[in-house]
Amino acid sequence: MNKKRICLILGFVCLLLTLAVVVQIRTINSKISSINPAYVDNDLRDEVLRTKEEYEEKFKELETAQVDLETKRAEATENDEESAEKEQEVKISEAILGTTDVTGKGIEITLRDNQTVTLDTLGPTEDASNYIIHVEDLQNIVNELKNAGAEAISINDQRILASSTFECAGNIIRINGARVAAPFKIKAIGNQEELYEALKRVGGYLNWLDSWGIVTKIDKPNTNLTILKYGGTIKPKYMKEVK
Amino acid sequence: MKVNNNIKKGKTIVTFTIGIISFILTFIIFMQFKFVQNTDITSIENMRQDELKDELVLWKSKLEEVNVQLTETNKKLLEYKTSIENDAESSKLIEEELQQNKFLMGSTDVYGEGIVIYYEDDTKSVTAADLLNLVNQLNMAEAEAISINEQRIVNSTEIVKVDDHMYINGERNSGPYVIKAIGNKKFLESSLTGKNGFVETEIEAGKKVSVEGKSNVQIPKYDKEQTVSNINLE
Repeated sequence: MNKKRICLILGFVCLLLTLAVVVQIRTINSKISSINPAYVDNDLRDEVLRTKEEYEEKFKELETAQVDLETKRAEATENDEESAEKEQEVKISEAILGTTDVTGKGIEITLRDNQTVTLDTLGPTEDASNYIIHVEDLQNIVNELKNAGAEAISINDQRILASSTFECAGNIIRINGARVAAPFKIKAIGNQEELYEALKRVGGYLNWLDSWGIVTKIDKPNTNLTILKYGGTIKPKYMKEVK
Repeated sequence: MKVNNNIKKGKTIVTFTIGIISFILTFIIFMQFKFVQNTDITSIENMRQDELKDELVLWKSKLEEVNVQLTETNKKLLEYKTSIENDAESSKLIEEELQQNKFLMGSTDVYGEGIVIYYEDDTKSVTAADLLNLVNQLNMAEAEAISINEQRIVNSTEIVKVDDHMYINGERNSGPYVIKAIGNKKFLESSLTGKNGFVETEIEAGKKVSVEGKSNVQIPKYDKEQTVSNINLE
């Protein structure tokens, strides 16, 4: 009698456990098939990753080639005064184009979304989007920096060129096609005092953002700032020079 | 006593076996849970098929561009090397590079296919932010050169409105604005005139806009000298 009961309980426990295992295995199987509805997706994903990797490899190769070119250029022009002058001009043009990393004195702006507003503190008619940083805000700050004579600008290490794109993509912003997110760190090289005073002024754009509780901080570091080069290539296909 | 002992022994073995089986089963279940958790994490990486396609197109075009640039850089490198070896004049090589950079910087007059946009006040007036937005829209459609009322947009260009006057590159301007862009004509045109595009939203916002595709658009150079004074050139 006693033995029978034990056996029954045992059998029952075993059944339960086996059932649990089976359910688990089934869930995994169905999960895997729902994650990858088609092998096409997997192939696509692989191809994206492969292309991206190949791009990064080639870009590194390009960077080395550019450094080599710079040394060879310097070597070729060192005994020729006219060419040496031209070499300096090429360097200046590269700095303006944004195709080289540059250093110099400047200012650093940090922007953070309003940290105190929550859904509870918002009034019923208020719009939460007033308290976060938008594409237009970044565009306006870049414009003010240029107006104050900035020579090189970057936002979260994305170099800003005349052809830079600013795009709203849900919770993040895309600059030059790359994802960037708050907090935003904007670096600008130029006349430090002029940049600082222009951006800090009452009635300026940063001042206005401040009034919405967006955290704005402007630094003018004593050390040189480094602004990274544009991470892509500039290759016109339709534009031709008028000779 | 002996019988009792045997029963006890049997019971111990049974308990022991049950213990081991339970342990193994628990272990398996645990492993299963872990596995399920892991699959959940990888699913975050998932993108939908059309997103993946877009991403692939983007990286493929970037790869193509970088390959072209690499070939060109290597060619230039080789030219400099031969020039050094043969002790030849390098001034021609460097002049070519300088001219190419000036072309990219907007310091030369350019032409090519593109579009012309006529943009002016109607019930509402055109603001500096509107023009900045338009330039951004054109850039997203891969414009290669842009001008507003013959002012070339370069890296240092600012657009500021002071007392009804629009200052572009520090030059005073006012509406109506004629914006020119060089690039893929069809792509530029359709990106502005598409549903919810620039033209539609601006007309709704009370401004006048029209777009015209052209096979030859002329854009003048930025006519001041572009230089740097705060960037260190070692």
